Amino acid sequence: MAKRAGKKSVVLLLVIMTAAWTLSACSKSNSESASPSASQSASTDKPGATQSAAPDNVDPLGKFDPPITVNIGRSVGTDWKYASGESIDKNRVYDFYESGLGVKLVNEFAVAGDQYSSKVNTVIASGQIPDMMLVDGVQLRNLVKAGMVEDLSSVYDKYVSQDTKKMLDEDGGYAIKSSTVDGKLYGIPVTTQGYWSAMELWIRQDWLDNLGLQPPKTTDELIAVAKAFTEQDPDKNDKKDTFGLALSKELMNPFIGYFNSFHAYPGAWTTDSSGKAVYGSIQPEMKAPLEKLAELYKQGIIDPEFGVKDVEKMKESISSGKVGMAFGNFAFPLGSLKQSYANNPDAVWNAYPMPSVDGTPSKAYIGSTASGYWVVRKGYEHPEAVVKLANFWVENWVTHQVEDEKYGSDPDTGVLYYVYGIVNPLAPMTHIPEFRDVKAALLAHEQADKTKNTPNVYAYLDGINKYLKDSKNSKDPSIQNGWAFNRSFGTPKSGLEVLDEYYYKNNYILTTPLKVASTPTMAEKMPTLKKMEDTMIMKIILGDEGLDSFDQFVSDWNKLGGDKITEEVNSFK
Amino acid sequence: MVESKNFGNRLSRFLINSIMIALGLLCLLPFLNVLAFSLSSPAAAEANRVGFWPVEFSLDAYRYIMGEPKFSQAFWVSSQRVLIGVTLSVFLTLLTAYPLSKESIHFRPRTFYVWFFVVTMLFGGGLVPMYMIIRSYGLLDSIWALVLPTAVQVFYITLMLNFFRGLPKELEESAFVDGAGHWVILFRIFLPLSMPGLATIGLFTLVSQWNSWFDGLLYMNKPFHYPLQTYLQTIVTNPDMSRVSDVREVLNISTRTVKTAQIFVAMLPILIVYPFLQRFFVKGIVLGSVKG
Repeated sequence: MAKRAGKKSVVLLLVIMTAAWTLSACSKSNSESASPSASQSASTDKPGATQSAAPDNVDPLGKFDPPITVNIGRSVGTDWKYASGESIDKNRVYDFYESGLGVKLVNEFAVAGDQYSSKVNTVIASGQIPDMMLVDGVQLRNLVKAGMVEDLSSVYDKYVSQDTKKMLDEDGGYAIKSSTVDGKLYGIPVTTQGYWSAMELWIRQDWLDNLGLQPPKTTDELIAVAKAFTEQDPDKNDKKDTFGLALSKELMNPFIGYFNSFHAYPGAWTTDSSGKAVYGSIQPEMKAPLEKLAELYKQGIIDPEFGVKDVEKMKESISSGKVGMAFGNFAFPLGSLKQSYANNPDAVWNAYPMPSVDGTPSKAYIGSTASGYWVVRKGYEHPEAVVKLANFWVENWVTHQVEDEKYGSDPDTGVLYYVYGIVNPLAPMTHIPEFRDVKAALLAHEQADKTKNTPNVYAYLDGINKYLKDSKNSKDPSIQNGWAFNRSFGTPKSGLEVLDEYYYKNNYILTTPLKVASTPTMAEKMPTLKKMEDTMIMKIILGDEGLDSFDQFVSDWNKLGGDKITEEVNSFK
Repeated sequence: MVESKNFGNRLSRFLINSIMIALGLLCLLPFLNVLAFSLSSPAAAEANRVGFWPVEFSLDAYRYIMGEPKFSQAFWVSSQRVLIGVTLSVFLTLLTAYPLSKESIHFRPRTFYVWFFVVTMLFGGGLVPMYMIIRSYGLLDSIWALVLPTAVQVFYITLMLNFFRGLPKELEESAFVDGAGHWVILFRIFLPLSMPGLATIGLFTLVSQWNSWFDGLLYMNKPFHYPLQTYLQTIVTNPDMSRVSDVREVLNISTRTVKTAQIFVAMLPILIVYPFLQRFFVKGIVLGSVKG
């Protein structure tokens, strides 16, 4: 009896579940059939709206009247600060957008950098995206394929301002091309500088001087210096507790600079002699540096524990004064080297060009200039708003920097207001002119001057002068910042000095041949291939496998989708 | 119990004690390490010169987080979540477990309901459907998205149900004879008797509500709606430096001392509450299992 009742209720349960499922499916198809009609009505509204606006009256910075409300999805920084009473939902920059452009921004979601991408994926998968949002290259392509975003070609041509257009084109058209799918523009690229991937060799100058060594010009000298740093007690503490070259298990920046010295460009796309785009990690140039690293590992000249140390751990070795050399970009002192000075005011870090394996100077790699794309939801009534927002940003924060005290940053509290801005492309060369100004002022012994300097230059120069006045007081955070500014923006032998006066001046640069942020096969296969690559490199360095496994890797790479990726990359050129 | 003095027994006591002390230290030392980091100077912390004792003692990190609205905001969201979550969860579990603790003869659809709950234990919709459900209920970005989806846990119902079954039937029967209804029996007789069980469930929910972070990341759209653990997750994951493209932003990245100070403060509430609830906890879970 009880058993039968149980059976009955199971059947009943199944019936209910099926019913519930059918109902939910029905309501889903309802909502689906409802949404196209909604977007249809929106798109039928649109021609009327554009007609009513006089076509001759196209002002790139024209204020929306009546004001419009835009729901956006944006990323935020974990370490952003806000003035009291302000938040990412309500702040002076958003107020400025409303008063100056007639655009009221409402954050539908605002998520911190690292989690932003997964949030966007969830939102895309759920089918309802905000009016505007920031996406990456792969997401842009997925959205276009799903037909969820608006074609911006015509509004871009119509509304873009001179300044914005100039800035977006300044990188040779890479950024705009990478936001274009099948000849149509689907996103406004957030341009950034390509030289963040340009590697330099950072050396403890005081160690070099202690041992009476010269900065290395060739890779052989590099290894000799690394050896001396490991064995000859460069910090004079009578302990063998130092090593030559900083590396981490991620096989990222510090490694890449080392490989670049051998004219190998792992993880990057380069142009081969026939003008074809090829993947750096599978080129024969990789062999020599790999072989050498395996040798160095055996001799204990690189950190024997690098295989288990992540970037944070590597920074620890730098901070505690255990490492004498590291490859990094021009901003390396700000993020990583600063703590080395904090722990030891006598630590001197100087930037040098990468050494070279032969007579040919090593070239710095200039990477992608688009860090993200602002897309507009299909059917949104004011697609031109995204272009106007970009114009407004360029006009008020890049070209003129009006009212910086109010909308830029607060030098006293260190709160940066400009970071709240959206659709915010930056000039591809931003830091170079800033560096030239800072250097000129330093050489002329000028103090920072608010009336003369741009806000950034003022901040750098002011910090450097504070540091120069009291250079041994390395416990004071503002002096630490000044030290870092001096190493990146100052002189002599600062990061930007090498970048500007060596790499760019002599044209020792290599630009990316990529015209797209991602291709379909790249989006699908690249993570697996990258893992394979990392394993191969690690195994060769640790001596588990010989150099033959590199050839094996190259053929595997091609077989497992690499061939197709190369093909796709070249078809987009 | 007779104390035996022979060598074998003493040796095994010694071994057991040392293993227990080692295990205890394994749990304690990470706490001390985090505390020492949070009380050291940033330079010493970044260079990893800190062990179990602060180096270059400084309270700056704590001063900084006290003045950091994001931290206190997240703390407040978590407190709300725990308060609402625990109350709701305990109440709903109580209401669900009571009828299910009756025999099928007294409560005919019992088998159906039990199956109904068991199915939810075995099958779930997955991440995206769950997100869509939360969104269509309009719960996104509200505290309810954090408490409602986990308010009724089948495991806790089972625990409570077995606890109720362990109570003497005679109590209930005599109450019936005296004219009490089910509500009276539940709240006047069962509730006071099942405090250990409730404390167990309360503690479980408290810990899980306080510690869960992924739902905050998924359902909350604004950083200042994040509960504490979600906020901590965003600060302890290292920012990908290759993607930071603003020089002055790089400088604002918070130091290790600030991170560890926040982690330590976030651990405190549970550390304080746990010892007080633990005596119930041990009793409650054993009672439920043995008599059920």
